[in-house]
Amino acid sequence: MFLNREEEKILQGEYGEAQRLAMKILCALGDFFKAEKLIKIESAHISGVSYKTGGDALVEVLEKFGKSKTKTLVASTLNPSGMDLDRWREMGVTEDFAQKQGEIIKIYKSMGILDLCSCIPYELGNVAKPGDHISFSESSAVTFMNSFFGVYTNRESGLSALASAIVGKTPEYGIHLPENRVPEILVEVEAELNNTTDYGLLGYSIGESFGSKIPLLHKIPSIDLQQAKQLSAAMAASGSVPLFHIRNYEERKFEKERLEKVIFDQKKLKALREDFTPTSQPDIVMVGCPHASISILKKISEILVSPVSNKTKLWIFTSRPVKLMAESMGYVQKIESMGGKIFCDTCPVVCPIPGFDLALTDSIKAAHYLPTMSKIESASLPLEDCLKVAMGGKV
Amino acid sequence: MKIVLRGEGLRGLKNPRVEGEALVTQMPISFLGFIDPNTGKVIQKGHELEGKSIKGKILVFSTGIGSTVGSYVLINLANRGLAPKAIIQRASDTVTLVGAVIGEIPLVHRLEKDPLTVIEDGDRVIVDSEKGIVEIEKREGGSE
Repeated sequence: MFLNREEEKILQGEYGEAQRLAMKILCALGDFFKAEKLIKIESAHISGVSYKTGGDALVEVLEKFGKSKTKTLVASTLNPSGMDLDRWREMGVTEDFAQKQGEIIKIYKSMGILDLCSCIPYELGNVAKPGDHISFSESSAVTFMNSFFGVYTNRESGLSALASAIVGKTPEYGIHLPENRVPEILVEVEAELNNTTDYGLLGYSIGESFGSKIPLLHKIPSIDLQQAKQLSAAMAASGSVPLFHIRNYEERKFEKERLEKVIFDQKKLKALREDFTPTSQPDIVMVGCPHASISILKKISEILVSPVSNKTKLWIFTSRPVKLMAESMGYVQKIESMGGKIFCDTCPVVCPIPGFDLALTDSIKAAHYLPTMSKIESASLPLEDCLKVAMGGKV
Repeated sequence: MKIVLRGEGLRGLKNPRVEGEALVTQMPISFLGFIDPNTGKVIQKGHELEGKSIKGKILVFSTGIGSTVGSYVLINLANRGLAPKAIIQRASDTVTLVGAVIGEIPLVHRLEKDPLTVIEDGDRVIVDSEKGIVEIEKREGGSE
């Protein structure tokens, strides 16, 4: 990969160890994936925040960066941490974990990275315009940004997104190049998608079947924010789909493409729904993967008309700014008066969840990760049904 | 019988040439979730490698999927001596590659023949990450 004089100096360590280490990572990536040069990015979003997922390696790597008092060159935000930074005791998080989590956040903040601790930076100001280049980790946000906003980012690892934030650049390869953004497979969506969880199932099926191939979804009339969040999150969890296209938006551009065609029909949707349907009563209901939007908190506050059953917990995950808005509107007070808990700064996948057997969630991504990440069984139903179960309804 | 395959390797590692026993899967891997960071064992239900350890193996798989935190899982494994000796992928991905860079794990991809077809469990494999070369010594009783 070509480096200009300034970039060479960074690699030689003239601007300090953090800059050198960041440039070393970007050069390794650029050389390996045959990038010609580095390109400027508008912003970055960095995963690898939870001590649960990053472990001691995360702390060690961050200490190397943190020592040289470097600041990131572009606006940067953090992905969810392993706990609610205020109410971690209510989550059953240990003192030791909380202390390590605190250290991690402190180092990131010392580099000027905003402790947003959310997986939906695009709802909270870390956005860019179509065609802009960014460096995002958090697989669901990558797919969302590429697909919904037309912003260009590879599926960065937490560490390469951090390196990019420090240098302000990313190697130009992968889907930063327009020729690598064309659809590779046509998915005819014949099934009737009734709710956002169904979009998660569609995404799960695509990721599982086609890995990293870029799908063109046909026969979906439109897609809203909540649907796109669940679709993106699921296809980036079961596979590594960095980008999807919706035919109605892109019809002209891809008319001549000859693509392998697959059908997602009602039968397939039904079979998938059955795979995720709970067979026993859950002892925890989790909502907010990806983090709940303000509209979802409003909806929950309306649906939750009776108290949460004493046999079930209801944990809802969102970002701190969204919770503040929800407090201002009284949604938080309503939900918590019914026995639900709203946690910030963390999520169902990356927080330690002690002492539960079966989690029910409206998120296919969360249902996918919970059994291995938290050693609890998982199942999935649409949001309304999850809340009914939380209020004591039978599955 | 010895088979030599040429491809592209991760350069600049301290020990780019290693030898070990192949562990092959046709399925992709998400290091976060699929691998127990405390043991190196595959814990994803229904995965071909479920119950097997990737520690010290030449791990052969198509590509990385899932979480972007997978790099840290790989680095954690490397720090604890639980990482694969080397990684061979059909086509690599950013998350796996960054883990290999910091974890000092030799990695090659885009070989002239599909490694998932040519290499089988138990084959002796030499990986030269600097040169991007893989040498395969088929195990006794193997299909080739």
